[in-house]
Amino acid sequence: MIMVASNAPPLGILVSADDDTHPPYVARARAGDARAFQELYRNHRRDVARLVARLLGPRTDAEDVIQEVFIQVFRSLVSFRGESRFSTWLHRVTVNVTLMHIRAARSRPALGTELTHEPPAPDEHSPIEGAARNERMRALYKILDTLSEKKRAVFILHDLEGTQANQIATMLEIPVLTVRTRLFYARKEVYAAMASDPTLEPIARELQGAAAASEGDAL
Amino acid sequence: MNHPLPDELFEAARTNDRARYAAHLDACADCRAAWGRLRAGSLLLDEAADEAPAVDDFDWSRIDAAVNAEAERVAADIRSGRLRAPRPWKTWVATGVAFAAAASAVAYVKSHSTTPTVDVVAHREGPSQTAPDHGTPSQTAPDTRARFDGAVLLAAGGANVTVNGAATPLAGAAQVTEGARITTGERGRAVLAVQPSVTLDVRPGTEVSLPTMREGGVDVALAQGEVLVDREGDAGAVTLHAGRWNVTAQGDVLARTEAHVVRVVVLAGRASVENGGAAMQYTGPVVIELPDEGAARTVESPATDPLRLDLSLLGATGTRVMLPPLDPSATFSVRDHGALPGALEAMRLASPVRIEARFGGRVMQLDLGNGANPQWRAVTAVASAQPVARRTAAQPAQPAALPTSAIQSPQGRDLTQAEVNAYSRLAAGRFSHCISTCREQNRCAQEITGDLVLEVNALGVPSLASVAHGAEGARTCLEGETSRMRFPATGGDFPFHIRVR
Repeated sequence: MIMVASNAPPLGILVSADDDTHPPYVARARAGDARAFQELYRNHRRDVARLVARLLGPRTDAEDVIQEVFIQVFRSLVSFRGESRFSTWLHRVTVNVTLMHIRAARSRPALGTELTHEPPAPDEHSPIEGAARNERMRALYKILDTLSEKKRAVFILHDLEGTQANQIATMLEIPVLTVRTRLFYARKEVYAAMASDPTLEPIARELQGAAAASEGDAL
Repeated sequence: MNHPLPDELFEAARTNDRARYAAHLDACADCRAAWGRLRAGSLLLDEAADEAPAVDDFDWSRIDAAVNAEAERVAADIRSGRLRAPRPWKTWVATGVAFAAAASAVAYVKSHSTTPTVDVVAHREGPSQTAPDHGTPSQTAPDTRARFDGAVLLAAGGANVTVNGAATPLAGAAQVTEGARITTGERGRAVLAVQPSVTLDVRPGTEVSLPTMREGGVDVALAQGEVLVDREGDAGAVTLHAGRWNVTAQGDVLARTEAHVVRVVVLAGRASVENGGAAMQYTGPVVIELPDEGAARTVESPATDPLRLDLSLLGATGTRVMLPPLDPSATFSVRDHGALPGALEAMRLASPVRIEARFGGRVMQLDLGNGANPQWRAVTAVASAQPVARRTAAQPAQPAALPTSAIQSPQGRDLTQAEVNAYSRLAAGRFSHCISTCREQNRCAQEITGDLVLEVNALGVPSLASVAHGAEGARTCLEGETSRMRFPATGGDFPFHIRVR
């Protein structure tokens, strides 16, 4: 089986140069130091945001989830026993809160969608390119939405984010074998969904056309 | 004809190895179509894996304000002792063992006296005293299923768990065991995993107990308030007991006690309802009223009726709800807190005491904790160009790769100006968050001088050769991003400079 994993380091969260096992502000926050909480937030907000955005896909409710993650982290910090790295615990909370948000959103069909406006286009392309990319990502995450949240999380973390199976196991507190099993079935389901999804056809034409143009014009 | 499986086709599609199945694809139109879709899917996965989500465009000022305010509250709660760490699980186990021993002794005495079928499960705290007498699960027959220990996924705003009569604040990652009673304060909320793939969302002002929590099924006694059962597929059974009614959720179900009635909203899937007679089956979405007296009846869903919009269905803080189209001339009120125009598009709970409404280009907020008669007030305009404005403002923190001319590659072909521009933009996008984060964490200087230099080999694989002065703290992040980039294979090595400003 060929994997889609990128060779990126597993999330910015894990690559912080001074990511000690237990950063000093954690102990100070547990003692009730408001500035330590704010320091914790400043140091980790972008990394949490990236993980939330990766798990959610192109949706506009990521800001709400980021806020919810930190509220949950603050409230739960007193119960952080320091048996794992702080960053691992933070990832676990982030993944759990995000998955809970996804589940809650799925269970409210009568109330419609959370989308209230288009998510902003990535700024490294023109607005048109950004909008087209958003459309493509929306098509991809629509397929990923068919997975149960457990399989979805493992698939995204492993195949899109490049996180290793043992790190995912630590993050989600499940055996590595369970990670691999979920990944196996997630891939099967994703590929089967792709094979039968007609909405991918225009994307196929678009991407193949772009690839041909790129080869011809060298960008 | 033997058709290749989708994952087999995908494996070939990953490398565009059509030749592997060429004969079959030429002969089978369905597989040919599947091949095209899988190629597209493969490219989509590549694209998603290659580009990190952009987070610079988030409305950080809003998030910062909310999180920093919460930091103050939590810190104050810790200092005042209102928020404490739960007892470690070893203590729970020790207490449980001691309690089990005591309960066994009780069971032994009873089993040799008057009651031959004493249920040792019932030694744990049953439904709360205020829980209804009717509809609670039978405790006369021993339950031989193994106990399931639940987990707290979320506890916020004041939630307590009572076991053995001792109440303690509920905290994230704690365990919840059979017999526990959960109570949430006016602003409290708790989300529990009560079975694999089943969560119980305990809303504010709720009292609920778990008289039975076994592998394969859980009983939930709702004394007052509101709970949401979120149940996936063939997960364990969940039976809600409220008033004289038993509701078995076979999907997602919200239940709320009101005056003389239990309101049950079947959001998705099915629910079976009974009160001692034949069970009635309901398929969602549907709202059922279960009165203290009389028969169950279905009612129109308040969620689809804007004139009866029920804020409790908005759910958790931060949840944004898109409203159905309204008659433009209509107005409606939100729990007696003032009228809103029919042009309302979306609402969200911005905090436990603040509702935010969005319509047209305007955002209005209602602070429920602000006096006895809160009023809606306009807070900001939603400008369509806002993301662009934010990007412009954020630009000084971003690196910009601005080589002004085509790159000469000594051995291979040159990079065209178009390529240089395109890869400059790509590199700037990739590296900006490294520099921003590094500056925020005071690991990088605010004034960075010089260039980031990538060495790109003949195959187009770059490596980070040097970093700009003052940006050393971002090296790990920059190296990570560099490793994910690919340049055109020119057949020769060349340096690629990126200026940070």
